[in-house]
Amino acid sequence: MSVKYAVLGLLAQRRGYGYDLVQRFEEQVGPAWQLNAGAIYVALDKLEQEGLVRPLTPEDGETPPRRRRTVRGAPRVIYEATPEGLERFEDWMATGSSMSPLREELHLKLALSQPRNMPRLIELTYEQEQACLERIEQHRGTAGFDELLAANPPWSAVASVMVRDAEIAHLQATVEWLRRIREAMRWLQERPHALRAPSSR
Amino acid sequence: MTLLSLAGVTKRYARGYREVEALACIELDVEPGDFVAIWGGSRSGKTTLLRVAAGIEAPDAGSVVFDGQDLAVRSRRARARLLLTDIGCVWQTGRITRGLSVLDHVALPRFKQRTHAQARREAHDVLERVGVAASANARWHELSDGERTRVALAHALIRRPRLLLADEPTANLNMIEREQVLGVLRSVADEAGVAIVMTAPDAPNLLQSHRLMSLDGGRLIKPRSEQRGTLIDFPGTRATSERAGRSG
Repeated sequence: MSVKYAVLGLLAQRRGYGYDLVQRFEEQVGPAWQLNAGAIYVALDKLEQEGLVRPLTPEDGETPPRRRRTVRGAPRVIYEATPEGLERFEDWMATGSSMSPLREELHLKLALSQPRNMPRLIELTYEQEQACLERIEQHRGTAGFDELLAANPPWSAVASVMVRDAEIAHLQATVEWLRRIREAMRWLQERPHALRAPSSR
Repeated sequence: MTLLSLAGVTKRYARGYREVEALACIELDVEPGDFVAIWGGSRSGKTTLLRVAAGIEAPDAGSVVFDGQDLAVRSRRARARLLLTDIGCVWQTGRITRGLSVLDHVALPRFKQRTHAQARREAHDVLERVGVAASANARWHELSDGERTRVALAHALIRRPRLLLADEPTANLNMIEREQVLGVLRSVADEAGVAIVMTAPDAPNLLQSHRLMSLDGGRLIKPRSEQRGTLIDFPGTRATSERAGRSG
């Protein structure tokens, strides 16, 4: 449930409404997360129930800029982090980070394949490498540490570049892995007797 | 108009008793102002690809066309002249002219056309651009590997080539230096319309380019928007396995 803390963190930076938070999330975290915008609203509800954020009321003297209503005509709600929310966010920053398990469809196909599937698996490695190139292409021009070269970059710019670099690193590792397994499979194709025959039951 | 066009380029080497296919069916068109980055590991065929594109080596099959002319029909002398004028190369094994300082080495190609002072001033500007102006008076043995690559780049750029072939120009550079060199390449492509083909060992090097592709086992893998033909002709896949008579 890290989106919850991300929303809390965005509100700790400054107050905001749902769509504004979606935009700021995408700007700061990047496209690799593939955020489902609905998750932001779910997180806002949860945070509000827990008293970590609160909606601003007219008594707070806060009016949203220009439009006060959403597209559907419902009043647009602006949230801010409560003192408990800020404290919880600091706690979260201080705790260790979990790592998601690596789950790719290609891993399952590999694990459940037979030697006769090798030609198709090799094709899949090419297709996957192509897909990785396309994902790297999406980051072209935007990522890179050239921001660091600019005079006095703001920390937020450096932080965004570091997050984007994580996806580049992941894609690079994937392509290197694809090249390795392709080499291994082609080695086996050239030596059909290198594999032990499966034991018959 | 396409400046460099590789069509069906194949190159084989003998390695011991075995024949190794260093490049296979390479299709690559490069326009002026294009910045192409080719990502490949060691022994993927990167350097061979650049050597064939430069006309230093002839392909075993296929054609290399530079500026509308097939390099195979040009004389050895004409190809050598191209390397002095229109095609700039940055090799990892580059060396500085013996006995010269970095500044004079870079200014050398300009000494004929300009006064020495002008040539040196120009060389200084190029060295500044690639970030090694501080080593202008150094000798080769005093340079770090990263500085050597950048001096080689300056030496190639001062001739104002129309095509620049750079073999891992960011090798041995730290992150900031790498971005600086990639930025120079990008601006040379964008502003002067130089066509660039660069090889790179890893992904961060690809991000400033206009086009990126991957080279593995001598085969170019391009993003779907660019790939002509299909991947199923690649070695080890179903189509090729069946053709080779193996049961799939």
